[in-house]
Amino acid sequence: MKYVRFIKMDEKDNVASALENARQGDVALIFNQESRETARVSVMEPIPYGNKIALSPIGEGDNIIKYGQNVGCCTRRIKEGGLVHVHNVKSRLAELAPSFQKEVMRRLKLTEKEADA
Amino acid sequence: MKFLGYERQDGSVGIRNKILIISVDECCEGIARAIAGTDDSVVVLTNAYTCMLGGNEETFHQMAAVGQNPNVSGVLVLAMGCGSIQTSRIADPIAATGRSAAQLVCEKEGGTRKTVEAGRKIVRAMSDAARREKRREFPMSRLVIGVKCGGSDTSSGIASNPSVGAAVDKLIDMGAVCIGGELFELQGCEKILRGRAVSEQVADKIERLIFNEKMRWSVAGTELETMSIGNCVGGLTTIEEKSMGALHKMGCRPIEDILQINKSAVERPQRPGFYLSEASMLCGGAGINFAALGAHLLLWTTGAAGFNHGIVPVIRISGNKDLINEDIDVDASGIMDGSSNTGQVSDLIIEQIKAVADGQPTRIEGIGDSAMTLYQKDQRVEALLQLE
Repeated sequence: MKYVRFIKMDEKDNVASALENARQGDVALIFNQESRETARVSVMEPIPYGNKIALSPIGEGDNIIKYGQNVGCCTRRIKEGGLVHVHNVKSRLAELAPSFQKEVMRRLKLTEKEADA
Repeated sequence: MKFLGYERQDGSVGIRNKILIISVDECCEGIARAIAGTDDSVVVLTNAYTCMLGGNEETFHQMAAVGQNPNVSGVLVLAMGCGSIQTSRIADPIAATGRSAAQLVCEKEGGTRKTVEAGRKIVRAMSDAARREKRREFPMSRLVIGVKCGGSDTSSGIASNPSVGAAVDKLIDMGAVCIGGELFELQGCEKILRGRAVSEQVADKIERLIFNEKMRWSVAGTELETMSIGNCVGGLTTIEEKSMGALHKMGCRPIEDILQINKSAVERPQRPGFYLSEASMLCGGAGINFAALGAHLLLWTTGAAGFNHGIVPVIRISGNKDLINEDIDVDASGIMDGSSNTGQVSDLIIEQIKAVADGQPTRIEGIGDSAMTLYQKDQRVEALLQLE
């Protein structure tokens, strides 16, 4: 277990971005833009640098809020501490082609099983 | 805060003294390069489309507007002589600003060698005159600054873009003009942008021009890339998320207008404040778009790419410590490791702007400039798409 830094870009956000690689069992320290720690969340699965963690459970159909704005729609329930990405979120403007989505998941080593979890 | 610039006859203030050679047709590009030689204060802008007139008005407006950029001290306009584009069409509006704007037509000069010789003489005289000009002190409010991103990654939306946004707000508060563009990448931000517009009229214009740009790139049956695999593997999930991150470099002050670059004109900022524009998301074309809009310099957020421009110096800002190299002017990676914040980095950006405006070269100024691409909207496609 180790402490890993995340940044939350707006108070209203339900996700934060990883500033270093996080593994299952790590503790996410959630900082705001002024570098002040605002919360702690248990990391439930690997979250690579730059990717997003759910700060609370996010239900199917819920909005993903980053920068205080709606940046996508949850397609599959995400637990608190889970990875928020193309396998459980879609754009409301331009959906990714399935082959593109698969390639991203392959490169991030997100298997279908993990994606379904 | 003040900077040292060159006052022009039209009342603008330049931060560089560039001699610009404009080849109005592609055939005289080699002559222009031969005249320019290796002097990096002499830059070449070539219309590589065609020597014809019809449908290329946007390119003509841009060539003239680049010649009117405050960083340009003198201009030589070249033509082969067999094409339809007269040198006077470009040179006259430049001369009207009080700049020396010479014209040479290869056929009239008696051939290529004679044109090169005559051109070198003209450029040498312009360079000598430029060297005699002295810098004087001007307030920061006289600056026009473009903001653009390229080679974005996760750190852009977290570190470099928010820092540039904070710097933009500070510049606006000093009375300067800042200009953003890349309308395609503002999809999904329309509501926020409307809310920032100074009037309903400007709000409608913003929404219309973002829609038009979306239509140009979203033609059924053609491939469209809104996100790269690299964007996604780096942690960006949707175009909305990418757009919101990009929007952060544009600060949060009111939007005075959205400046159009089209077949009728190149609109210029009329008063201080923040502006959107039709500057392209493609870097080479955007460099010329910003030059035509009258920008003195560009703030460019990136991973580690080294976009550079011959007329408008580029200050590169990166927050990716794994990629930062000697090309990057401002290191924003402290935001990623918690040793710094956007406020502190925005102060570094302002300091850098002042230094570069005073004449200090950016990290790669004069080394390996990007092509000065004259991008224009295809009038045939515009008509087919029925864009107004």
